Amino acid sequence: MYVSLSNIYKNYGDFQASKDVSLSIEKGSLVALLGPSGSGKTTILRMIAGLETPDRGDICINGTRVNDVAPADRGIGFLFQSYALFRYMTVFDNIAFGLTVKKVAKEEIRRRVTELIELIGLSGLEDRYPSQLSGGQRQRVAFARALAPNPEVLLLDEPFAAIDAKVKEELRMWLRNTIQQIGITTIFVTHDQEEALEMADQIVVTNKGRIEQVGTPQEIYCNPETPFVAKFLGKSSVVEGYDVLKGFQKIENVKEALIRPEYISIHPQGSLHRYRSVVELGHIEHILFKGNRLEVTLRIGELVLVANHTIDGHAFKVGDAVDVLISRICIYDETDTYLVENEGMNTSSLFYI
Amino acid sequence: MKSMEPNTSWLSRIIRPTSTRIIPGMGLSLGITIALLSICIIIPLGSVFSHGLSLPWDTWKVLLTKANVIQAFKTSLGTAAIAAAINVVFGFILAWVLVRYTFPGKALLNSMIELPFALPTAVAGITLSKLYTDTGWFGSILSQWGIHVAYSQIGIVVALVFVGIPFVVRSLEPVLETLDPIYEEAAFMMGASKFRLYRQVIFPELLPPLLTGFSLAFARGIGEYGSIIYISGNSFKNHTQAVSYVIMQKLNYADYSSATAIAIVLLGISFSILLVVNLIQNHHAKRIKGR
Amino acid sequence: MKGRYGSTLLILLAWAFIISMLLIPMLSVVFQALSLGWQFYVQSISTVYVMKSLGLTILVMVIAMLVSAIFGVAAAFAVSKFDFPGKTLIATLADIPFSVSPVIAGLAFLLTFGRLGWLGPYINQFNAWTGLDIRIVFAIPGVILVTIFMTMPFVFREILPVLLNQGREEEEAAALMGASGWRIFKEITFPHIKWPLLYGIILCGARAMGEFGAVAAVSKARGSTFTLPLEIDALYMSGTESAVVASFSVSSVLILLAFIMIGLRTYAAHKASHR
Repeated sequence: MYVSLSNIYKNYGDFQASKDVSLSIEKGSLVALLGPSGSGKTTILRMIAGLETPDRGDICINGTRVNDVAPADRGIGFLFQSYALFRYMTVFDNIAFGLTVKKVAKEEIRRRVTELIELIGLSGLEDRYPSQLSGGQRQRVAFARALAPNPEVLLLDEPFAAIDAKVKEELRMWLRNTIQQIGITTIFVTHDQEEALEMADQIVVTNKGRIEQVGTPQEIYCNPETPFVAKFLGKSSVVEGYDVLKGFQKIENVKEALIRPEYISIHPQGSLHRYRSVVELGHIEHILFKGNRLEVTLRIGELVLVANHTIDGHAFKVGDAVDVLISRICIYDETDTYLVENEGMNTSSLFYI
Repeated sequence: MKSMEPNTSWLSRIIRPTSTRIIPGMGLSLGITIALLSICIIIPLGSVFSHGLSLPWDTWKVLLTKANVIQAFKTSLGTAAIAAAINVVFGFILAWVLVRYTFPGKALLNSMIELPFALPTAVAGITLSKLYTDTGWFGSILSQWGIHVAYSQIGIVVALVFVGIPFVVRSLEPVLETLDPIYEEAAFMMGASKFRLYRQVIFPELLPPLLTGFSLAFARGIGEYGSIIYISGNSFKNHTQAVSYVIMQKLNYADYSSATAIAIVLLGISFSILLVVNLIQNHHAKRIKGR
Repeated sequence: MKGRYGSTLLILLAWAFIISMLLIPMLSVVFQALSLGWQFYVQSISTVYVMKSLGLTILVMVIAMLVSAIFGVAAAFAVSKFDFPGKTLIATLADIPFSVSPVIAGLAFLLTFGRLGWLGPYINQFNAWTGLDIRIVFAIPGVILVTIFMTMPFVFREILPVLLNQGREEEEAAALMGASGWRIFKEITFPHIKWPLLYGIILCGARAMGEFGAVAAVSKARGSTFTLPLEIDALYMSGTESAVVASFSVSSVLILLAFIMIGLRTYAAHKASHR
């Protein structure tokens, strides 16, 4: 494992920022630390960088324990949330700074900086000051500055927090492609699940100082291992008394279930013949236009669920009675989650074949 | 994992606090700071207090009940309070005008505010004294109406207004600058009358900096020496001896014990004022952040 | 339309205050100074006493500015870039000279280094041992020390808000890349505080040049330990008409210096706000 943390504890006064955090990251992977604010994700990043010292536990980079290695000697590049560009230096000098500290030859610095400026597509802006750049350009300069001394590991703290929504999408793709092109091991912190799902090879979900789950975006989204992960990702309805739904049996001691919009399909009343045994009767309470889809709030007896519906599908109105089909639900107790498929759908589909 | 148990003695917590110090230079900068603070401020002031502690109780009692000492405190506190109040009024006008309006000569007016800061107090003192004596430019006019500024408490007030004005203006300016005109517009849109607007929207915002400015000007005023000794006349009979003058008098007679006792009382008053200023600022900061 | 009249009235009031309280007094000094003619003016500002006190004033000013700059940069850097217990105490202690009467500052040094001061005997011992005659109070070192007391926090007060506002991330970023402390200060921190530093030093210089009460308490020898304000005081208090005029002549020199300081300050503030 390239970067590894074992049994890390970190307190700030009474606040526990890290509780027994263990984590392994493979060389060349792009890892997201995802969690709500205050979940300890930034602390993990800052400890790897050496900006914070763990109270207990080991941090290893490339097989060496780096707890007592000075931040500057850990071979990391760090991109601050605010970018922390040197306001009184030009773009060129900002990127060159880390190289001049390492006393690299002038010619070599010029070559490397020029190469990086080309990489980030800011050729011609070498002599600008940070205040003369747009938010996206600043991020690129900070990225180039972090890369300049050829670090082994790149750490990004909320890299898109200060960027407009529109530029964000574009920059995400660019950053992901560039990082893959260079092949550098990268860890970034984000609270935006979309960002993590879209960019990362591996996602580490943090909550209250602990790691909840580590996995690929698909694993994290489709097979959440803990209730927190299940609730945190996607937009889900939490329901109690899920056993009133047809096709799902009550499991002992498990009271709550979580239903993702994509598990639910809605159809005009009476139009669904295939899974008649498990179709629920629902009423539409709300319809929200989301641009590329409709977000429909349904009531089935006591339960309130949110479902998605395509724009060009059947046009429903608020108050309509509809057929609702729930393909699966995610039930959970305090510690574990179980994905439960709709029994009726499985059996009836068997019938048909 | 036991071997990694962090050392949590209080000493190690001071040396290694929660956050890692990655920026170099803390030892040097803090060392210089503490050394200079100790040599130039803490030790000398400490000498005053330690000398004060060595004084017998009787000395304090006799000295602090003397008529001229009590009168000097009355004079200093009274004139400083009046001057600070006048400064609040004119300081508000000046700050308001400087922040809200553009007019010819604004830059000049703005830099003139600094003059009392930059001008030696003794120069201010003799200048005002000369101006307000009965033969001076202002004094000759005022004396026709029977107002005698020089060699009276009014003279002290005039001098203190002169030295105190920048404190109020400079405390108010930053707050006025951040006071968003949108507040006023919002209140105006809701149909609030101008008077109501000023009383209920703007005044509460300005109260803390006004109090800060008042306190700073007041604190400066009660200890002031150079600008007031010429214009006041320093007469016990006319109640124009300031506390600082009395201390200086004791020093000239090498009566350090009396000087120390009076000085400690004056320091006590000044520090209480500083404390009040800090409380006002903290309260204000909390109110703005906390809501 | 009512607002228009209101603003005009306020502007007029502001000007009236500045003119009557500040401008006319300054003008009157020039009048007084020149009331016995140009020749007398030149004579009275070039006496040996004035020259000596001018020399000392400049010496005191330069040292006070230097100390204030060193303290201000070090203390503001320490308070803004690091977390340590007692941080607010430093800021509070640094505010003390602003609210201490200058006369008390003088007293403080008399009680430290003077005949009755607790350091006095040690200084005597040291002098007896080395054969030197080092004196602090009623001598130039005392004049310098009290002036430092009164003016030390000025630079700190100007720099601190700027550094607090700037944050720590730039320095952290540079340190992460392995830059040395000196290099970080010179290339990252210093450009932020360049103008406020100058601004504070000028203010400190102006106050140091004009410090009166504190210096008067520890300086009694005209012609050797007198600064310009004390020389003005001596001339004015002597009471003869020509001496009073001379005191205004010397004052006019200080007023000129004060205006130069204000000009420099305005320039520095202007520069600082354009970055």
